[in-house]
Amino acid sequence: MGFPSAADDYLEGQLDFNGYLIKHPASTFVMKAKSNALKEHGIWAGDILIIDRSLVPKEGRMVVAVVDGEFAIKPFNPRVMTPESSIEIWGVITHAVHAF
Amino acid sequence: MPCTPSKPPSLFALADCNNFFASCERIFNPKLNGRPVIVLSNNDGCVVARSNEAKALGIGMGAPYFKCEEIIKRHRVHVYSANFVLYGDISNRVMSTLAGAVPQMEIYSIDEAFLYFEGFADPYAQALAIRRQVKRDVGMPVSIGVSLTKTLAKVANHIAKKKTVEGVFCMTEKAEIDHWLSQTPVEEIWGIGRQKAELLTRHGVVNALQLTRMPDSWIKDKLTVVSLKTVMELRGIPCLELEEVLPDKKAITTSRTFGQEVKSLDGLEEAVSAYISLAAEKLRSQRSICGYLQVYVMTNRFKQGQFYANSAGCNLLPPTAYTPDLIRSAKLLVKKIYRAGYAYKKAGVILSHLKDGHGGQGFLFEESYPDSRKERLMKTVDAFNNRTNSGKIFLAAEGISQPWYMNQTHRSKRFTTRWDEMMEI
Repeated sequence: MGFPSAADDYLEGQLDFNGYLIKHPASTFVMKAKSNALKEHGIWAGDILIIDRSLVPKEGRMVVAVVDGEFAIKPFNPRVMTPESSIEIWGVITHAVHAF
Repeated sequence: MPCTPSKPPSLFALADCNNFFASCERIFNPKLNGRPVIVLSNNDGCVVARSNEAKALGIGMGAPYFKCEEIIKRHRVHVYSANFVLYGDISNRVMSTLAGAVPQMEIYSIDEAFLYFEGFADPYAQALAIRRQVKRDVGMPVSIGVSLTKTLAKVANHIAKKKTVEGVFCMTEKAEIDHWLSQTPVEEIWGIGRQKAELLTRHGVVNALQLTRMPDSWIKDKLTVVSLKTVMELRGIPCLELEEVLPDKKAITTSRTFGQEVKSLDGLEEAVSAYISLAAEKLRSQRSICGYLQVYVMTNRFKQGQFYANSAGCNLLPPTAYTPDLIRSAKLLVKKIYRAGYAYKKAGVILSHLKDGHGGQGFLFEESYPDSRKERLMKTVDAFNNRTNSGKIFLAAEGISQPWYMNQTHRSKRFTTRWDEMMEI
C-alpha cells in the first residue's frame, strides 16, 4: 500500500457549482429563457434560469410570474403584484447561467 | 412571559398530497388550475389520478381510459400519461421539505408521510405553517391531519381533506375525537380491510366509535391481534411507531468477485445485468417488488495502483420486479460510476424498499392496473429456469424489452431531470 500521501489531509473536493447556485435544493427549479426581451435585466435567450420558490421576492428582483395561466419573466413590483392581483409569483430567479 | 405548565403532548400527523399526480402536472402548467385533469396508468390504460374537478365530473378512480373518452371530450378534460420521473422528483422535494419541519418522519408512500409532532405548543398552527411551506416551496398542496396516534392522524387527515378549507385538521380532545369517530365508517379505518369491515358490519359495528367500545377479547376473537392494535390506536393509545428506516432484511443483494478483472464498461454492464437477473428472480420468488436499486463497483483493494470504489442508486417508479426494467436502470447507474482506466474486481446490486407485489398499500398502479403481460412473461421465464436448474433464458441486452416499452402518448416533459426537456419561458 505504501505510505499515505500527506496531501490526502488537505483534500477539499472541487468547486461545487450546485452548492454555489442552489441554496435550497427542494425548492429550486430550472427553466430556460426563450428570448432576448429581458436582456436589459441580464437575461438572454438560451440562459438557464435558476429559480428558488422559497424566497420572498423583493422589489426589482427578477421573478417567474404566472399571468393568465402563462409563465412570464418580470421584475418584481410589489404595488402591482399583490396577493389580491391575478398575477401569481411562481418563484424568484436567483441566477441566469449564460454561455458566451 | 407566562411559563409553560407542562410539556406539550407528542402527536402524530399525516401529511398527504392532494391528488398527487394531477397536482404535479399543475406545477409546470398553471393553466390547469381550476380545470379537470386526469393522469393515466402505464400504457395509458386507466385513470389513476383525478383533480377535484375531474372527480366532480364523475370520472372514477381506475376507470378504463376508453370508457371516459366521451366525458373527456365534452368537458375538455386535460389528459396526461404518467410521468414517473417528474412525480418521483416532486415527491423527493415534498419529503425533504417535510423532513426539515419536524424532528422525525416516516415516508409512507410516494405522496404520504407520517410526521412526529413533538414539542409544538400549537400543533394546529404548526401544521398550517408546514402546509403553507410545501405549497410555496414545491407548489404541492398537502392536507395534514394531527391527532394522538397514527391511526387517528389518518382519520384527521380524511377530515382535513373533506371538511376543511384550510386543509388542516387537528383533534386532541376525547369528546372531539369520539364525535369524528362516530362519523367514520369502519371500512374507512386504516388497517381495516374490506373483509373485516364486512364482518364488523354484520355484527352491527358500523362506525369507528362503536369499534373502540367493543371488548378486547371480542376484537381478538373476531378479528386479529393486529386489529387490536388498530383499535387501541383509535382509543388514543399509540401502538404503532414511526418506521424511519427500513429493516435490512428487506433488501436483496447479489454481488460477486470477478474471476478475471474487468476493464471495459461493456464487461461491467454485462456482469451487473447478470446479477440483476439473479436478484430479480429472488425478488419475484418472494412475490415482492422493489422501489430502490443500488449498484456498486470496486477495484482490487490489495493490489498496487489506485483503488476506486463507487456506488449509485435510483428510485424505481413504479416499483417493479421486471428484469428488463431493472437492467435498464442498472446500466444507467453503471455508466454513472464507471471510470475508465481501472481494473474492476467486484460488483454488486442491492434491491431495496421492497413491497408486497400483490395488494397492500403502495402504488395505485400495481393495484388497479397490474402489468399482467410483464408478470406473465417473468413467471414463464422463472418457471423454465427453475426446471432447467440454471438461468437458461436470459435477456439479450435490451431487445426483449422493446415490445413492452411503455405507451405514453400524453406524457408531460421531465422538467426537473432533463436538460433537453426544461420549461422554456
